[in-house]
Amino acid sequence: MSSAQRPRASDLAHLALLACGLACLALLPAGRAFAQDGGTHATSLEDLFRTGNEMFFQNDLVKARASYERLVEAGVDDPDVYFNLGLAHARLGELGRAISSFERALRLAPGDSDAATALSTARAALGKRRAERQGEATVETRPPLSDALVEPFRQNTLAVWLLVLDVLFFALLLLRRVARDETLRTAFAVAAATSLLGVFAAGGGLWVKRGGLDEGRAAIVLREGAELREGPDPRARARASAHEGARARVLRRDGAFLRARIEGGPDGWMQEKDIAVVEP
Amino acid sequence: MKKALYMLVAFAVPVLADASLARADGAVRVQMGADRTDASLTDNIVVQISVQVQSNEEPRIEVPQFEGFQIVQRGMQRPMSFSIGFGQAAPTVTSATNYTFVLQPAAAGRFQIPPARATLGGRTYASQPLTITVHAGAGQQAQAAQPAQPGQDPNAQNQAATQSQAQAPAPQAGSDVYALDPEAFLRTVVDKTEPYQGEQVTTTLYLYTRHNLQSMPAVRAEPSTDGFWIHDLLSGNPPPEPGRVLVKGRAYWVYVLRRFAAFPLRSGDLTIGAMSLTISHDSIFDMLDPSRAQPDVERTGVPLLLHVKPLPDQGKPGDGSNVVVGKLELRGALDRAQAATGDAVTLTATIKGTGNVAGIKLADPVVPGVDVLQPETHDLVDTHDDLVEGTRTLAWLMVPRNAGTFTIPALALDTFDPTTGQYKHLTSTPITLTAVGNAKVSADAPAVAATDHTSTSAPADTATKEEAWPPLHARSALARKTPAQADSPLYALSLLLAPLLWLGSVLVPVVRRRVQSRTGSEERKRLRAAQQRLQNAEGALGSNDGPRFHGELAGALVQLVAARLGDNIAGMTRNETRGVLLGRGVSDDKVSELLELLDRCDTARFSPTGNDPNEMKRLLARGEALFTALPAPATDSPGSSS
Repeated sequence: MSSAQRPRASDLAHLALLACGLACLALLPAGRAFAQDGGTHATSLEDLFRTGNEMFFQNDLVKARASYERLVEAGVDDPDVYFNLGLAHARLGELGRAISSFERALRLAPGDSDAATALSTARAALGKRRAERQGEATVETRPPLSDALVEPFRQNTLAVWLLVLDVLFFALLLLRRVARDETLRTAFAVAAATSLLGVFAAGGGLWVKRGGLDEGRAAIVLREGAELREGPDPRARARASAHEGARARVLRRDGAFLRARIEGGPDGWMQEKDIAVVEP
Repeated sequence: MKKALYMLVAFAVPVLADASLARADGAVRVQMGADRTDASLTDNIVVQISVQVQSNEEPRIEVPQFEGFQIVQRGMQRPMSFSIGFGQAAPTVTSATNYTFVLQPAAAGRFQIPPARATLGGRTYASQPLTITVHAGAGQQAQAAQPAQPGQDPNAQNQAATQSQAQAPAPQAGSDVYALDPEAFLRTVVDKTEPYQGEQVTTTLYLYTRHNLQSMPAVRAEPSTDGFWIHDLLSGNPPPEPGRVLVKGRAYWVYVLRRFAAFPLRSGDLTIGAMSLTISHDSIFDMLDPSRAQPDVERTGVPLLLHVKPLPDQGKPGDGSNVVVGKLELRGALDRAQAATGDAVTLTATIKGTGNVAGIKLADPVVPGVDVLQPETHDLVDTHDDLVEGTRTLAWLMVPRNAGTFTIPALALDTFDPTTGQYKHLTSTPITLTAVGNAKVSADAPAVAATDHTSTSAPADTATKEEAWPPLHARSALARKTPAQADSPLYALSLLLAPLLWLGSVLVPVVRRRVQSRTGSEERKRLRAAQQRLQNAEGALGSNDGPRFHGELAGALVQLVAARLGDNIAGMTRNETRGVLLGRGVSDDKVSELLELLDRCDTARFSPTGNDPNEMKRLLARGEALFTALPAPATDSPGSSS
């Protein structure tokens, strides 16, 4: 490349300054996502959580469940609250609701081993219950490989990594253009190729995490034998029924009914009280 | 000779057939019966299970679970096994195992006791199940009758028992009771006549007969052992060989029918009942000489009365109801001294010694802040020199709810040693448990049993309480919902920013080059036009066309200025032209030269002397010189030419 073909230093400097400024602006929401919400909570929320725990220790599970549910209604979206709510549901025998709460906890905190253990315990208990009642029960199969690969990561984490690797990739390309030394140019090219792989990985993971492979939002069936009807009407014919704790995808809503597809099974309209969406 | 051979064959064939049949039969008969199938909550129910086997092998017996009942008393007897054959030959052994359970109902309802099973040679034999209905409320005291024989009508059996009791002799006190009979009689011997409550009484039942038995006597009624806990001392051991004794001048064969340890469960007068059996004297030789056949003999023993003493008051702890009789030792141990809250540790109590270890109960330890689950119990009972001994192990799971140090109190057991007549208060040492971690969930109390006791009842949803759930999270940041980064429009823009900047860095120089190359080509075009007009002027000179020559030359000079300097001076006055060119940095002499040439061309075009070839040549030369004299504009495009 001749000197006439290389970008001028002043141009590059201007571009770099502009890039830094815009990148900071773009990463500001990400930084906010990483930072804990350390704002002042209403005292009532902490009291609610404390009350819920005390009721749980006193074995008053109904009141404990009510406290945790009020926190969720108040807009709290915390993995610990969902976990405790799941435990209250589980101890009350509401295994479908327990599973949906544990799933929510894991989506917010993928590394929470307690939530993962509780989820597998709930599924095992559900299977045992169904086997005792019906003679046999299908143990839940493993999730798809794509879901298993992205499960340990939060959606926001993948988004930030994608952004960082994206900027890094093009920055390395730019540096390669201006570098004069051949060794440096090769090094920048290799680094750029590596970061490009990271871009694809992060981008692919983010796409899967956001349900790119599946239509609709993830959900859990709450009631054993919940009907899947042909239409969003309680008088519509029931074409199938779902097992409690089964995974499903909610496609759309019509009034008090949700169009759902059971994983590996039929689809139909279910009453919203029979199914809980686990991802927003 | 032939006749003797025929006789031999006649004897041998049936004997061998009988023996082979006996060996190959291996018949197992399993029977289960109860003295009553309709009872109240206060009644006791006696269930008897009998397993009779004709085989050299010992069957594996499965006693059913008595759900809905508490076992008040249990006993097992194994009657003597007899061999059939000549002399030492014993091709077949027949034996029977009899279990007796005294049950007390735990709740009202309809209960089905599963069948008892025995497995032999890969085949399983089962009795009929038993259905017992328990009514709420108090009932009449249970009849003190013999337990019903399996498969028989209990009412009929009770009537028969009542009748037989009316015929049986009255219980006799003593350590050795029997009713002498010249043919055969039963004798009951105990090692003590006034035991303490809970003390072992070793009891042996003998059969005295004048003739050697060819087959096992059929037991019509087992000796009753109401008020005793029974442990069979012959179980698993080969039966003693019959002996030959003289009683009052008569020789008898003596067979040991039963030997068991009886532990009185209460004080007062208790009776070890009489056994009733039928002795058959049938022989294979009877078919050769029917006159030799002897009738069956039925015999009933004499009940034995024991005076059971209560435990002595002196030194008795409490009311004495929790005192265990025997020589025992107590140890307690914790599997680990430190645990995380919510994690379980195991407290194990080991009671070892002589006595009825299976009846030992320890109070569950109470530790504030620690959940204690119901213990698991394991018994290992053995006998040594007809003395029952063993080990009972109780294991409690303990789950600390809170962090801290807990003291597990010492376990305690009151014992009474009948040999010394002394009470002992056994204790283990207190154990310290340290728990660390956050406060955990408290364990639930064991769920009350469902009221429906049928085997087809569905399990309650309280089964989720049995699962091992992780502990509650005591802290939470109570985070609020935040929108996903990828949903923000700014995020998409941020992703596009870097590629756009990079693209800009690539495209900007390209665009600049293109712009610069476009400017250079305009200039060259004008220069070519100027040169073309100069050539036209040369052509006009050659054709001596003065007006055209001067017009072309002037046009060439104007084009030249436009090409070099970018200024169009056509239409400008001379003063304006001078000003523009001087402003462009052109030197004054060149400006003057240019202006003079333009003036001469303008004048000569319309002058009659404008066709002078020499003058035109001189003007052309001066014009060409000006082409090279005027400076070219600065450019670095590759195609530009200066």
